[in-house]
This record gives sequence, structure tokens and C-alpha cells, in this order.
Amino acid sequence: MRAATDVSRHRADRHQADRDTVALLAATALFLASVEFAIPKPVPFVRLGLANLPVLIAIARLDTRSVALVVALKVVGQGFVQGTLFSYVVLFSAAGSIASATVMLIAWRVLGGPLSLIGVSVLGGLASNAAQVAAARYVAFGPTAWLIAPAFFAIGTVSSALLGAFAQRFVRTSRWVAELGRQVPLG
Amino acid sequence: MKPLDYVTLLIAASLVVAISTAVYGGAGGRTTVLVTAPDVEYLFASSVEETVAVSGPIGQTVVEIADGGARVVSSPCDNQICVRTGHVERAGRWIACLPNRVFVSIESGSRTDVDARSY
Repeated sequence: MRAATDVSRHRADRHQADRDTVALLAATALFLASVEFAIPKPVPFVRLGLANLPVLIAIARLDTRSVALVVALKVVGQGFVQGTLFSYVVLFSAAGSIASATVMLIAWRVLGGPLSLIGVSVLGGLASNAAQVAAARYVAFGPTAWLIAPAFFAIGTVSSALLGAFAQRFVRTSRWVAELGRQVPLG
Repeated sequence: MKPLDYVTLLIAASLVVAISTAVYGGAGGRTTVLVTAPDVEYLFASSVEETVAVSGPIGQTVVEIADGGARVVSSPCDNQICVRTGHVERAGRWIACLPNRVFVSIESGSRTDVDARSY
């Protein structure tokens, strides 16, 4: 009985710790979305994807539900900061975010050994771009949407690789992340 | 960088190249005609002279590919909008026969002019 209570308390603690981490990561995504919004870009739909950094950390350290929560909060936060929350643009953002998070999560869980967050991020970037081009093609603009695809994918690959490299380094060296790892054992 | 990271970068790079060639490549101004019916899809170079009949739910629609474009010669539908659309030639133009669910469109083998842009 005692042991059972301990286990459930431990679980509750873990749950609370997860919640705190999700909140912090979502807040970081919101902040990074603001930073991203402040950076001038040649065309508005090109994104550096800074707000994906917390998502990468979540994938490396949290369970699936928490990752989903961080992604959902990221989409809402981004829409809020960029003023697109109640426009069709949020559809692109959601499509891209959900597709990339799904691909990244699977890639990390399945290929986690020989694949670092760099590769995970690149795959996520591809998924995000594919989803957004598809949304542009079939929902918003029709066949001419393909014209933006090459630039979109090229920029996405470079920025996602750089972001992944940063995330990999951060996850490996950050004490805060190491602390998370202790609270929430991997797997 | 771990081994599979290089693989993903390679995949990404080849994808970028493939998409770029698909979108920007091909001989300039060359177009293709895509004929879509409920159960078949035909792709013709617009330079060919060809007449094709496709069947839809209410009968046969006859499409003629000629003069670098396409037109619907006859259709079993009532309103004949597709026939009256006439000859289409420029990439991005299309003819649709909704009653018979036949769709004819001119696809670009190369870059097309964008009609409008809005940010």
C-alpha cells in the first residue's frame, strides 16, 4: 500500500513537473515567435522557425501528450503574436506545425540513436514545408502555389538544419535540460 | 552530426533540386494538356494533334488537342458550357464539364506568369 501511494505521488510530481515544463516551453515559443516577427523578411510566408526550438526540446525530453500540448500552444501563441490567429493563415501554421511535430516525434522515437536533433529538425522542416505547400495548393491558391515551393524548401532546409544544430547543442549542454531529464526519464 | 543526419540533409537537398527542376525546368513555354475523367487521366503534350473521348457518368465527352491547346468538341451535358468555353491554350486555363465530371486543364512544363499576388 505504502509503495503504491509513493508511486502515485511520484506520478503526480512528475505530472506537475511536466506541466511546468510545457508552460515554460510554450512561453518560450511565444517569445521566439515575437522575435521572429520582428525580423524583417523578404516575403512574409518565409519563416526561420525559431519557435520550433521549444518543440525540439519537448520532443527530446517530454512524452507525446506534452509535445502535442506545446505544439498546440505554439500555434495559438504564434497566431496571437503575428495577428493571424483568426485568419486563414493560421491554417497554414497549424498544418505545418502538426505535420512537422508528428514527423519529428516519430523520427526521434524510431531513429533516435543514429539520428540527432539536426536530422530530426531537417525532417520536420521538410514535413512542415510540404504541408504548407499542399495547403497553399489545395486550399488557397491553386496550381501556381508550386512556384514558391523551391525557395520554400531550400530556405526551410537551411534554417531547420541550423536550428536543429542549436537544439542538439543546447539539449546536450544545458543544465536545465539535464534537470528535466532527471525528472522525466526518457522512454 | 550523426550518420543519419547526413542522410536527412542529402534527402532534403535532393528534394530541393527535384522540386526546382520540376517547377522551373523544362523547355520554355511548353505546356501539357491534362484530361481528367472520373476513372481515367490523360496527359498530352499540347503540340500533338489528337482527339480523345472519355466517358463520365452521363456519357462521352470528346476532347480535341490541337493548335497547342485543347477544346471540348462535344459533350452529353445540357448546358454545353464546356463546349462554349472553346479553345484554351495558356498554362493555368481550364475547361470543366461538371455534369459529366470531366476536367481539361493546360499545365505548364515551365514557369508561368503569375496573374496576381497579394501579401
